[in-house]
Amino acid sequence: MKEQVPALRMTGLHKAFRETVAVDHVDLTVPSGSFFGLVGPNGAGKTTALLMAVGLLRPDAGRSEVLGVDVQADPMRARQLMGVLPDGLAMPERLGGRELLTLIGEMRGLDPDVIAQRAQDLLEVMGLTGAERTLIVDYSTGMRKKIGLATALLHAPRLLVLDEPFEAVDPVSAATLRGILTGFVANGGSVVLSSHVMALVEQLCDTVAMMALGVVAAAGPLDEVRDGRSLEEAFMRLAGAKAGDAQGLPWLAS
Amino acid sequence: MAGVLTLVRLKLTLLRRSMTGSRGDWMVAGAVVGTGLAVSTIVLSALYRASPAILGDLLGVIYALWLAGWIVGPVWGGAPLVRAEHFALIPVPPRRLAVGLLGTAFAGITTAVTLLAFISLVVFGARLGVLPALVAVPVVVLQLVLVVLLSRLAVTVFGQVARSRISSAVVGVLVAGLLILSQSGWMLAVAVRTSGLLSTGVTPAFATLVRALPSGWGLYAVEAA
Repeated sequence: MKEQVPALRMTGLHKAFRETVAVDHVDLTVPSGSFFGLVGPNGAGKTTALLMAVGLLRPDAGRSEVLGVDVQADPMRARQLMGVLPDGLAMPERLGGRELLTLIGEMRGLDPDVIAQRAQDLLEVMGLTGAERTLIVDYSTGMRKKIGLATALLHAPRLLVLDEPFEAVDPVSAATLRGILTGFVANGGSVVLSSHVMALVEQLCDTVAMMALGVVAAAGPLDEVRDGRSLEEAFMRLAGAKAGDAQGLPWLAS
Repeated sequence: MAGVLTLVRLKLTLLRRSMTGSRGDWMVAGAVVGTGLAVSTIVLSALYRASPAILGDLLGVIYALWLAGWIVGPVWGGAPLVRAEHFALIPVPPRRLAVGLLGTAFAGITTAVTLLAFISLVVFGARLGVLPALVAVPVVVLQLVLVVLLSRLAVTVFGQVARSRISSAVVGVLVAGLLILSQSGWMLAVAVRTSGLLSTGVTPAFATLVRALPSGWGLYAVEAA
């Protein structure tokens, strides 16, 4: 059988901001059709790694491929294949949700009928039809995540790269998002998401990578990485932290 | 082309929606004052009784002021409504996006007002003859494009400059200068009046300078036609 092209492959990605190395020569392969979770504490380098992987940040060294397409060499093709939800996505603030989707669709060169249909479907699924008259500038953080995800899905990509997609999303919306993402993977798509919520990743993902201090501490199938423990325990062991250590603030207890 | 039209439509929508509250009042006030200045420039070029050379000098100074306004204005006004970063994830070739964004720069109140002011060059050309008037028509368009491009360049440069600590102090000084000018700028008008500049023109060196500035290239072309 012919070996499948990985959905995303990072090779030697490296980025330093002055003396601080944010991502240290990271190699990571996301198998096609996987639901991939990138976990790690704040400042582990997850966001920087993902930004470089999708071509939004120029790496100091290394390369990234989306379904075999080099992101730096052919960014246009790579952007057709993937949908991205970066943290703090910049969008024209004084548009409504449907207007934004129509704009993105037009800029992507989609057919107007296709745009109208998909925008309707996405707004319904995301529960944003009730906010038709609300401009994005007045959206809550959760609503912004949802409209951002909608823009990432609009062109029916084969890979989704999502940076903290569940942050600030209410439980009901989170359940909807989970449904959309698992359905996407079941239909042959691949998802990469970053999160520092281990339980969520454990519940959703089949493959994980743990990042700490800019390097990948462990990567592989979920069960292999957690090795009979919870993902959180496995991570604490790898990161060398002690859970429940209350020694830091003795004055707080008095 | 479709991308350009989409972006221009987007710009007009965003512009309309940002004209609310006090920001909207400022924009309307700016448009009224700007139109007043633009019409004054046309009236000056049509009715001013002096030698064409002196009128040319004055127009050169006025166009330089318009250019200065375009360069420092964005420091005041903030980021453009439609920005490249909005489309960072969309597979639009950079060149096409740049053309589209340039298109959005032309869809705005400031551009319309500046175009009105630059039409004074056609009026000035008509006073010189048929050929200068004809030359002035494309020159006005080119001059507008040049001014808009220089403005965008300035936004980028200021944006880069403002990131470092020392340079943000430089931008701060610039803004302070603008504040002083906006409050005490009338003194310049008094100085211009008492100096006899309006009847005798500027010194030859200054006349050359205003034509050498990018804002004066069109004027020079029309005079040479």
